[in-house]
Amino acid sequence: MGAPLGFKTFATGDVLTAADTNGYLMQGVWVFADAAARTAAVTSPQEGNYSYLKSDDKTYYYNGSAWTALGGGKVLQVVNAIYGTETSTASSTYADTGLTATITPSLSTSKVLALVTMPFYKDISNTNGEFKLIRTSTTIATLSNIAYNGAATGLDIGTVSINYLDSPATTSATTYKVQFCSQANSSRVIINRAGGQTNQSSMTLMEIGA
Amino acid sequence: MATGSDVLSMLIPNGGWVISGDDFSGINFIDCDPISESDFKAGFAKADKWLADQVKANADAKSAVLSKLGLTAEEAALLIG
Repeated sequence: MGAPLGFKTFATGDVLTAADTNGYLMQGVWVFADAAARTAAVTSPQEGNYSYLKSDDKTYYYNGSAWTALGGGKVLQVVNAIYGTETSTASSTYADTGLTATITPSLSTSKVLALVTMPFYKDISNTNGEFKLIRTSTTIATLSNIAYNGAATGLDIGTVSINYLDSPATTSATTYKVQFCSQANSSRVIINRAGGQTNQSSMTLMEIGA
Repeated sequence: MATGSDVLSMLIPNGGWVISGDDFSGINFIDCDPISESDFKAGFAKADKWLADQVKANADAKSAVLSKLGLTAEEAALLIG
């Protein structure tokens, strides 16, 4: 197959050459074993060209500077965890909230969208809450000064949310968890409590295809 | 009714602990001296009064501030809207 020349509208009477056939008429979705084979065969890709790689069973288009896979962004799996035990801390040292979820990505190129919702209450003392979203042992997101009001009064803020798009780059089982602490060591903050009632936290992990 | 968290707040006012639920087994004494399970359980009988005292002290403190401002609680509520 000749190098693609792009798109051309032929007029009546034009002489169709071998180059025209190879460069224009044979431009469909080209199938290659892998990216290396494509690079060897298509030396001058044109914007809008399409190819299909057997190595990953994906269709690509050329955007003028790179081959880009079609069909990304699909939700490949969803994991959800609920934790409903009221948990308090009066320590400025981070500790587990108890909310945790584990996902095993099907592809190492996938992203994991973590969605956390956690009822939160600051007690009648001058402090505020801090949160960490942790993948295995790595902190990937931090929230600080939650429910800060600068006063020794309770503050019922409803829920704290953490939304984070992670790239774990693994196909191994991966655990996400939330830790929290009270900024002022002697004052407590409470999760899974809102409106004076015990409530539930949730963590949803969505594997998003690359 | 007092929770385990209330009991710890009463018995270890300087903090340093985490508690999940109301059982002694759910306590993590992170940066404080641990208390005994018996002290923890006995604390529930006193925690309700301690909590009520905390609420009253908080309310008294608010009233004192309003009094200095020459306002009643109702007038303050109207000002806040």
